[in-house]
Amino acid sequence: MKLPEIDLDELEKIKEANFRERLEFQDRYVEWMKKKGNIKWSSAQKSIVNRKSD
Amino acid sequence: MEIDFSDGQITLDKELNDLDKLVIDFVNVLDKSNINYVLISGYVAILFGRSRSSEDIDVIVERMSEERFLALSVELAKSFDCIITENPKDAYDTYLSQRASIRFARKGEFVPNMEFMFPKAPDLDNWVLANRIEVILNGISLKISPIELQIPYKLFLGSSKDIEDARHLYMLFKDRLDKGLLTQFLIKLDKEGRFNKYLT
Repeated sequence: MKLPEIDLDELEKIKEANFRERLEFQDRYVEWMKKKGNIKWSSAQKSIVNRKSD
Repeated sequence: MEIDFSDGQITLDKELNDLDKLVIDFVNVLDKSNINYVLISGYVAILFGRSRSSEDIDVIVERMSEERFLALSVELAKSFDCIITENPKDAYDTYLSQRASIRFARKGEFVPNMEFMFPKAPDLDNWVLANRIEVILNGISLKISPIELQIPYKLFLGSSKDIEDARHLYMLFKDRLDKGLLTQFLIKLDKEGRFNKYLT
């Protein structure tokens, strides 16, 4: 089986770009939270937090 | 988001999740035993809406005598299991006194749990205990680390999750932060570069 070439520098750049995208998403999430009532965002948060322990 | 800041106190009403409920029940025992504590790290971000879960919640508790800890253990044991050791004297001698943590979960459960520790970095941890801020969550008092320390500390820990926590807190509170205090902790923790790279 021929394995693909792996460019570690390229993977590091992709990893960093993905992380930057997550940080930008984080900003959008905070802006969304700020515009919503507490019941709205905390209900959404509850579904995420409780998922693991259900 | 409705959140109130006044007199160094933050008031927040929200739909409580399982982590909030665990924290409220645990610190209720600490409060009834007159034990000073401060909630730190990931839960501070989760308390204020960060959309992620956690297996544990870090709580620094004032250093206390073995006798006082054993009395606290009796109260905690009514609702929680210590999942590190069943023997409170062992918990004190082998773990807490050696700068290690113990963990408490609801009876019969393992996660999520409260990671319970005495001050490990005495200067820093005692500062946090002395300068904790009060959050009134649905009418219940919780004590948390100042946000101005939590952001640099999360950057110091440095995983993707930690940096996202720091960014969440910064974006939420940036207009309310004591910028001078934030800068001092960034310098002390040598994380100005990471702050400039990821939070601005």
